[in-house]
Amino acid sequence: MSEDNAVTTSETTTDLKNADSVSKLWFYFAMVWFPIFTTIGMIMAIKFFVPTFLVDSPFDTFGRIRPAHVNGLLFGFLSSGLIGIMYYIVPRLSKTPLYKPNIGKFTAVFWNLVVITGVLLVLNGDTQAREYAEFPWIIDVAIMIGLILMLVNVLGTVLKRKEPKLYVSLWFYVAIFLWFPIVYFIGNVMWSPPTGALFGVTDGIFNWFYGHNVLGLWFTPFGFGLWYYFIPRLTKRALYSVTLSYISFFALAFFYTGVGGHHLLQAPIPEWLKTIAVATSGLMMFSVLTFGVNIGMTVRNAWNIVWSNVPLRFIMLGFINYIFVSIQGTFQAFRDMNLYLHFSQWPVMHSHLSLYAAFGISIMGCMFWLVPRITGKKLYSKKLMDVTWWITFMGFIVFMAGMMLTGLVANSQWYQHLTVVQALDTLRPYYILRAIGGGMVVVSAFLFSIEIIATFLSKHLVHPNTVENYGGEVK
Amino acid sequence: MSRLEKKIEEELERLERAVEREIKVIEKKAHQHNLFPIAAGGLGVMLLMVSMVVLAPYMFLLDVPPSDRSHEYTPLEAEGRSLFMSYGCFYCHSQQVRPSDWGIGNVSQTGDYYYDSPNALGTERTGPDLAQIGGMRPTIWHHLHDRDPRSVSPGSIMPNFGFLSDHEIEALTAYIQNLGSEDLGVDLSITGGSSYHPDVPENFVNASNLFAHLMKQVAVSYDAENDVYNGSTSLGAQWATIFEIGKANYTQRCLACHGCSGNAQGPYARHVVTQPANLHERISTFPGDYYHIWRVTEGVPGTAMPTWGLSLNETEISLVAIYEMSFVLGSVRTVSGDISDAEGDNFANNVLNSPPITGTMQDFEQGKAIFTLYCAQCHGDGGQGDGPASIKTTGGYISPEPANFTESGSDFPNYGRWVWKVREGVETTNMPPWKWSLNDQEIYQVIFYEQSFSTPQDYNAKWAPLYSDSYGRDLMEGSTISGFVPSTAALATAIFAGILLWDQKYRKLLKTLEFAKMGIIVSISMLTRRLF
Repeated sequence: MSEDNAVTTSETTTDLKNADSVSKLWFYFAMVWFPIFTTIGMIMAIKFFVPTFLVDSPFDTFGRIRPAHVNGLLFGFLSSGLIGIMYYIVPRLSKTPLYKPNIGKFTAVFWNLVVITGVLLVLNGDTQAREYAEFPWIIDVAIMIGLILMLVNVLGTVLKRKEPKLYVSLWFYVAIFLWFPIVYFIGNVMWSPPTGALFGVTDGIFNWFYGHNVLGLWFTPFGFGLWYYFIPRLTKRALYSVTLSYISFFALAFFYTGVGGHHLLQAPIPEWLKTIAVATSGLMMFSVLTFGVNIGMTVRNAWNIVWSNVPLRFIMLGFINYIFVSIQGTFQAFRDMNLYLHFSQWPVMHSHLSLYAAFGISIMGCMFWLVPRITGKKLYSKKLMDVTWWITFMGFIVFMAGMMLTGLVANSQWYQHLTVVQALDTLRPYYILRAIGGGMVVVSAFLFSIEIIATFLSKHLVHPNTVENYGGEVK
Repeated sequence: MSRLEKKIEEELERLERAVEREIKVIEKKAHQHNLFPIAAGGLGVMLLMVSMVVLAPYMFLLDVPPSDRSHEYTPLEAEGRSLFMSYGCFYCHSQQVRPSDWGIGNVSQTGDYYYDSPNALGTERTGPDLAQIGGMRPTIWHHLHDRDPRSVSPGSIMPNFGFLSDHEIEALTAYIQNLGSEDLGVDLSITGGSSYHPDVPENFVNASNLFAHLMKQVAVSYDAENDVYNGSTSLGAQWATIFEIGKANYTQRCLACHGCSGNAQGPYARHVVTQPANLHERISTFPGDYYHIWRVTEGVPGTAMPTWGLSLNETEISLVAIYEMSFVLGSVRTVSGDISDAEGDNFANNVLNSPPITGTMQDFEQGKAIFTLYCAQCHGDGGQGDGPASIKTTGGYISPEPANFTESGSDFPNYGRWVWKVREGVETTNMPPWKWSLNDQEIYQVIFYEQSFSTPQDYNAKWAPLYSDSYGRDLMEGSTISGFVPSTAALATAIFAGILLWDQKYRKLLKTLEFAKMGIIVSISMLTRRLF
């Protein structure tokens, strides 16, 4: 390494610390929200087979804690984790310090205070009663402000970049903040403050345009950004193809935007809209498969690295689940499949498979890997991390199986024209199975949280020259 | 700067240098270009799609008129609706009837949601669809149901809403009772509120049930709380006779569609396009006896309900109607099987508690033939309650589950109760009264055969001593499984435990086994016995 290079690196290092402290703030929130809101989910799972469990006050009735669980995990845990990871990646790929570190820190605190206020309001019944868009208007406004602050920061950093090459992760990170404020504004009908809703089925179309694009244009690009970054980096293999990444980016922007209508395939919305929704749901595979092939080819002879590096194992599990859930989603959106699978616990399984098993598990892996790196502290316990992976892995399989079976058993009975009430009785064992799997997921969330908190509090530094100390990584 | 911080500082720098090297790998596959084409391109195609899937449908749906099923909300209903939304009821109750749905109303139209903002289309059906629930059930049913769902719908998993005030429940019910009912332009105040019934033709306006006066006379001296009748004996006997004849008529003519218990789950119910009336709920919404008489006499146009006036006379129709009234929701018979059990025990104590047959092989074979002909359809060839019509079987629909004779030791504590249930049927289930098609001898024979499904211990303790013939007495003697399996298992466990206790090395293993055992017991009891 030449003298010149060493100086540059050193400068960059000092500058990047500002961005890392922003990441750290987001991670603080993520590690707190994850166990709290999964526990709320667990309470709901129990309510399915012990219906008299916690029914004495309005705040713990199912219809109140469900939106709290969903919004808390979506905007609390998942968004915090993914945004924290983004603040690590963006300055490094741009080779430039974060544009406005102070705004970054402010956004982290502001966003999370807004989200927890929103969740408390929803628990109190101040809800817009639109699935995924429950937050009242004032919270919507605050979230828009947060989005715009992040847009300024990310765009500023990327525009001032010293690295002339523009890696694919950066496209997604910039595009998110161009897409999502639009989606959020339209989807939440923010020009109509009191109800935040339109009249009639039109509102359903707006609701599900938003509801699916929270996934498609918010979580998915974040996930693409981190998978495109971490998988090549941790396996030390260059990305397979740039061309495929172009296709995945533009296919995502175009096709994913239109899929929302597949939530309303049996509702009285215009038939042509349903056709668009089904077609785009199918064509969405362009984005997913090009991405999947690209990453798959990148790790094609590095699977032993994936297995031995525990954080990467988490991230890879998330990636595989993402591909799986996308293929599942496409098939589920076809009319005949949808007719059969709609309305049961199957779609609930689908959303957990994507949000928890793809993004949640990836965040766990990234945080296990990143927290030692941004603090310089040794990971609390590699053993615990490995145990957490196994509990996560087994837990999510049981969890998904429980919901999938509930769904299929219910659907097959409805298909034979049994009524909902008649079918209900037979679902009980599967509801219990779901709660068992969910319990394992909650345990893994707590273990994850304990491990990350312990790492933050730890006084043990990373031992020089042993890369392994960052967690399960081989040289 | 403390020493620790300084060390961290150095460490981070060293790390970053490593990062730089690692990032070089990534950058191998990146092109050198401007952000603009990516950002503008991504945003452009996204906006194009937004205009197709959001703007276009918005303009397309601007002029949709309200449908007949949509109603402008009264202030009370609007309040109920806001409660419905605020408590998240729509997460479990959808409000859309799909073209593929059966028996829950007409397919939803775009205009149905005209007055809704936001709509409550819903995405899950954890509970029943509510799109057209209005008027399907009595208002009092909703009041009871919202406070404690399991008081009127035993299998429900809906949370209790006991914390709602009376006014809130009223508002919620007002909203529910108005959902999706077709506005026929009729003044509902005439029929007394929530549900609409067509005008009765003139010749039926003054029709009345011939036995209504008798029913009233008997009801006056009946103490429902203690289930005691204090009135005149002759009147009581007269009433019982009339009730029995009504039951016979109902069994012969109505059961096929309306089901043995009047719950609209008769064998033919699934083969008619329009679902038969669920008598538990429907009768209580009738404006009066005259309406009931009219519906039975003239039939219901557009449904499979026949014009019974062609084959039954006025007396017979009154008898059927009287019997059907015992199905009305809230009458003791519709709530639990306790009444039937008590009647059975009463029969056992006062009339008959041991088989009048001796229990020969011929009895057994005869019983088997009858069972296969009539009972196996629901109870299954093995008497496990899993016949082709049972809800336990794919394609079956008979609910609640038919009795499982292999584990019904506690259901049949004595012989008399068994006879009673077969003869008289069980009103809360789809078990018909068999006395109309089987004679007493045949009933005893079929019971004999059914008893052979019970466990050997149960059979030998309760039923074998009742039969005088050696065949009935020794039916289960030969099967040693009863003693053999538990004793072998106990012996094996004892040996195993002994070895483990003896060897200190296995102490740890033993602990693990205990945990495993506990886990197995808990999970099995959760799954089978429904611990909760």
